[in-house]
Amino acid sequence: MTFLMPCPNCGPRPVEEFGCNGEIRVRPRAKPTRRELSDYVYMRDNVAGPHREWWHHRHGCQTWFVVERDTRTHEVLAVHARGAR
Amino acid sequence: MNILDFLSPGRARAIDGFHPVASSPLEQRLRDAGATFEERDGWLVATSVPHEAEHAAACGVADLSHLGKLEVRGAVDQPPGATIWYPITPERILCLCPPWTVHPMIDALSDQARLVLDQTGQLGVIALVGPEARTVLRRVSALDELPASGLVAHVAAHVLERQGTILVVFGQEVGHYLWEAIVDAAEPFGGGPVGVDLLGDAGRIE
Amino acid sequence: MRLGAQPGELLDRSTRISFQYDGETVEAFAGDTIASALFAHGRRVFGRSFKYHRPRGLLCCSGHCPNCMMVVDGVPNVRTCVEPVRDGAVVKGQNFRGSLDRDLLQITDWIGGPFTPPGFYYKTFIRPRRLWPVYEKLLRGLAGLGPLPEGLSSDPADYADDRYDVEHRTVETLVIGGGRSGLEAAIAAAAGGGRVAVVDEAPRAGGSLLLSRATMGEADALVARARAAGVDVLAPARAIGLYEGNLVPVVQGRTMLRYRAGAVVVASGTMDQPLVFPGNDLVGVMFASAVRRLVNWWSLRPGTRAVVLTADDQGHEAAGELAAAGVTVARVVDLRERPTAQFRAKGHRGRVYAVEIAGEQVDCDLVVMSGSPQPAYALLAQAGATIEYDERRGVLVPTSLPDGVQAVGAAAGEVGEPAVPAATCGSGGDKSFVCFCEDQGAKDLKLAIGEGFDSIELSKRYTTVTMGPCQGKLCHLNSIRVYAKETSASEISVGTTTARPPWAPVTLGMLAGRGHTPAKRTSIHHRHRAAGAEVIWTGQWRRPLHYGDPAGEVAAVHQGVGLIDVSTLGKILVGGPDAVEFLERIYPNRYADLKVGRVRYGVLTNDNGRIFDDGTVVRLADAAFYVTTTSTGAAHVLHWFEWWNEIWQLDVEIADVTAANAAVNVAGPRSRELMERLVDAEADVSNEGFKYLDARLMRVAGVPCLAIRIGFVGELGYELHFPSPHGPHVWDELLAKGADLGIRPFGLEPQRVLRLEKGHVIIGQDTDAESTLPEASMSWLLKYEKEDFVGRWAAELVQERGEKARLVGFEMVGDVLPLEGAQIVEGGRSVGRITSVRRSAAVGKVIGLCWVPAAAAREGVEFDVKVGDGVERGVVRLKPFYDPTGGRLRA
Repeated sequence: MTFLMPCPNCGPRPVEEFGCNGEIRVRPRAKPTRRELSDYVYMRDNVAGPHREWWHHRHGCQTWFVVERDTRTHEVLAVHARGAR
Repeated sequence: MNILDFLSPGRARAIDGFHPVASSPLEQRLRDAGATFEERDGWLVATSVPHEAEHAAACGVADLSHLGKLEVRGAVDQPPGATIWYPITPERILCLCPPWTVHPMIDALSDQARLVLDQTGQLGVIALVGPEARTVLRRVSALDELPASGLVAHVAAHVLERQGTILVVFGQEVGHYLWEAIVDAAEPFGGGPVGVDLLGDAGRIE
Repeated sequence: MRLGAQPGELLDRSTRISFQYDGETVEAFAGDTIASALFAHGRRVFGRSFKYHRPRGLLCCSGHCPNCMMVVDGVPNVRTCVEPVRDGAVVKGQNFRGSLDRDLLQITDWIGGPFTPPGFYYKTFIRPRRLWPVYEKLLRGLAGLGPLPEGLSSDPADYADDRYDVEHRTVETLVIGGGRSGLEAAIAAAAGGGRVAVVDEAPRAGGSLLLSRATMGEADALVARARAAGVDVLAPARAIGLYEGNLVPVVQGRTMLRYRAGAVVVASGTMDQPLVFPGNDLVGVMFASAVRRLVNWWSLRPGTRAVVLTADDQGHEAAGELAAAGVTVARVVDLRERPTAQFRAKGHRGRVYAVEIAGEQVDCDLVVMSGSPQPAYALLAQAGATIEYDERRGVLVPTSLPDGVQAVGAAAGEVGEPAVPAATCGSGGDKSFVCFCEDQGAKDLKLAIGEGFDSIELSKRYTTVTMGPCQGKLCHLNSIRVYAKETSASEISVGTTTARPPWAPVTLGMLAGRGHTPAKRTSIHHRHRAAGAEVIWTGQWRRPLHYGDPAGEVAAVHQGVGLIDVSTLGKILVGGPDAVEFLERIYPNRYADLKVGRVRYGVLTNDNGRIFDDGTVVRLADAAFYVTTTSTGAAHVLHWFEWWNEIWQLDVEIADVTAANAAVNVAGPRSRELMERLVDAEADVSNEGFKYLDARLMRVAGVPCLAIRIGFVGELGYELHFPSPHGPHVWDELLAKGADLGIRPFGLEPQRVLRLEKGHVIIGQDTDAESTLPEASMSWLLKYEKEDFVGRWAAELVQERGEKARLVGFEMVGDVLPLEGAQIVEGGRSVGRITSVRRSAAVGKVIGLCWVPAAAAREGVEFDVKVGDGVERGVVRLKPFYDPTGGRLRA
């Protein structure tokens, strides 16, 4: 992997500067059933195609952001910075 | 004491008539290089190093870890006296200033900022000077346009530029390693350690 | 052999260079390569082939084929045709027993054929099975090419001066290949502004313009124009890969230039292709471009009487140049005119003496072959280009390119209208080679297809065609053609194999670079070194294991006072209006009720309910907390906090101050006395003024400190956090003022004994990725009265389903010390394991922590621990071994 990740703060940078926290899972709002809990903590869609995931400019500006990435090509389709701090 | 004073080396006081002297994380490396030290602003500073003129003719590597460093949170404008004002993000700013201005600066900024943190102890600073400084940086980092934050010799750092001097700002715990890696990269060009006095104004950042 | 001075030659005849070949002195000119000098010296055999040990001569003269690899100054597999001569170099042949000219192992060529088909390891040498170790030893001895130099040291320090460097470069446009198309593309790109570089693997830029004396001047003029336009032209500099994000590693001498380019222009030209006919590997059979280099660059006469077999114009150009150099051109066969021509080369002792063309024998000592001009597409394919067979021209061409990558000139498929040679041009007689690296002939490919390896990717793995040193440069196209012919399929349907980096061999040293290991050191590190500490790695940190006397260090903490550097602890400030809310959500236990100036232990779990870190939380002010983490978990916890807050968006500031503060733990019954000597007059360190689990701001030795009264090691103690630049000062003062109290610095090993005596857990040592709070005997941290916290639901689930195992203390019945990780067994089955164990002098027993089945987690339950081949008895102990009531901690 040597692709460039567009950091919402620093612009395109080598991917080794970043950490990836995997597929975005929505945390249940209230106490989940066993099945819902197991789905939330263990199950991942693992799609071949556009994939929404957490990224973090770990060795750079430290910004966390959400990326929509095509897992087959590493093409980054969209980047959303939430906090923008 | 203010509740965050235990983060500020500048808040040390004389005891039994002796003022505690702050040490740079790179002190041992400069001792190994035969540096001459002098106490300045509460810090032991490497003022000169053998063969520094020859080193600087290619790439001089100096320790500026005694500079004041602040992390400012919030959308704050650069105040006078903040020599280097680098917004890592729009709301997180790295400020470099002369060591004796750290606390006045904290006071001046605390009204506007969400948080002003004395990072003087947290961060080390290595300066690169001379005609090959940029090439030496390229030997250890892919960072191109400055200022920027990213990997230098495989560790996270901020790289700034001021009046032709490159400043590498890093977590002090990797200082020994980073000094070794940068001096090693400078070596094939004839570069090596230099003292702060050789940097002249560039080293004082007033 | 050497012609008189020629216009345009690369030689500087005024500078003579000499080197050693096999004990002989070889004279050369500056500008020669080792191979050109050896050729001038009369050498024709340059190597021995991989399997059959056939003599091989110069074939490509461009550093692509395997034929001229030799050992140069101890370095094996050097392609001597592109290795510049240097004074005093010591050159030897490789891959033979005897000499290059008389190799005893050539016996495999004469009798070995039937025994060495593709996959021969698994066919010929499989019976009888018990002999395989003997075969293996023999085969291993014969396999491989050049030998590693003898007497290599395993100490990297012995090669410290043998350096390879990495340099990062950023350009707007990088052009790979410095021929006419590449240089023109670079000049055009430079006109648009921005940084532009051209890299070319040949000794100088110019590409195929340099092959002919007529166009050499044009090459030089183009290079000059490019440089004048601001283009950085590098040669020799070889691009070895084209990676995602247009990352192009370029090898230039001993430096790896890592280019990041906005746009990459591939102008890599063509690769010469062999014709497949019997005897096509004989010494004296060469590519047209090789012959032209020998004549035009190094002024050598490659033979006396030549036959030219060509599919394009290059053969004719070579023929003209050979004639001018005084070589008799006996015959030129143009495959465009005679597409079905059949020929075979005849050799004596491995050297060609004639070519039989359609039954007619033509004597010669040089055969010039020019097969298809195959675009050098490998870098494009690596980048993701589609490569397809062009039936009309008989070559593989790029048909679609990824964004940011362009192809120009011959690499893009502009190769004119060459003939399409038959898959095999001739039969009978000697072997017809498809793969020169791995000695695979057309017959071997047919055999593989017959055995069912009928896809090109399978066949590649079975026959190893395209997997040798040339990596398919000379054999890929021909193997596809042979495949298509033998399976009666079209070349298009046969497809191609995957092109992978590197494009050309690269040394491991080049890939390794400088090899510094990132290490973290505390600001007190050199005090430990000076005190004779044994320093070990813990994660990236360098830490003292002990100072030579771990038992004495333990005793000092129990009896007097000890001092340990814990600056490695992670430290995070959490502040702001929502700071309490944040901590309440992220920790299982409570912080809303923590009073200012107090500290509380905290464990972090994820939503799976698994424990991943622990530490302490000090309330500095109503809305300001100082959090410590484990030493190796610091970065993870920081990112964990920031990530959750990115989701929660609470009004809280999270700041890493790990390196800002040094931290030391002053512990032992006399630590209060020591503190009294060092703190400011106004500071109260009495047991009433500074209780257990209090945190106070005070100056110690003049330095502002956050002093926290906690006791990981089980004695009265103070953890001091203060600015790291004062680390050495505070350390020195503590040791000096505590000298008469028996103070000693202690390392990690004594610390581990001390904490085990208290039954304190080390996260990651005693817990793993499966450990939950209930099962780690930490249910007391779960505060279900809170609405929610990370890990709550999973912890509830564990308690609902019942605990399976428990982390408990134990002591051994005897004095045997089991290994950490030793199994706890029941009826021969593993039911648990020991995670920590030490012999404690203070307790007088072997003690530790272990995981046992939940039912066995009761005081006094005995169990078997596997030690060596037998078992020893252990007993569960639920209370701390040392000071069970905590009286010493609170004293």
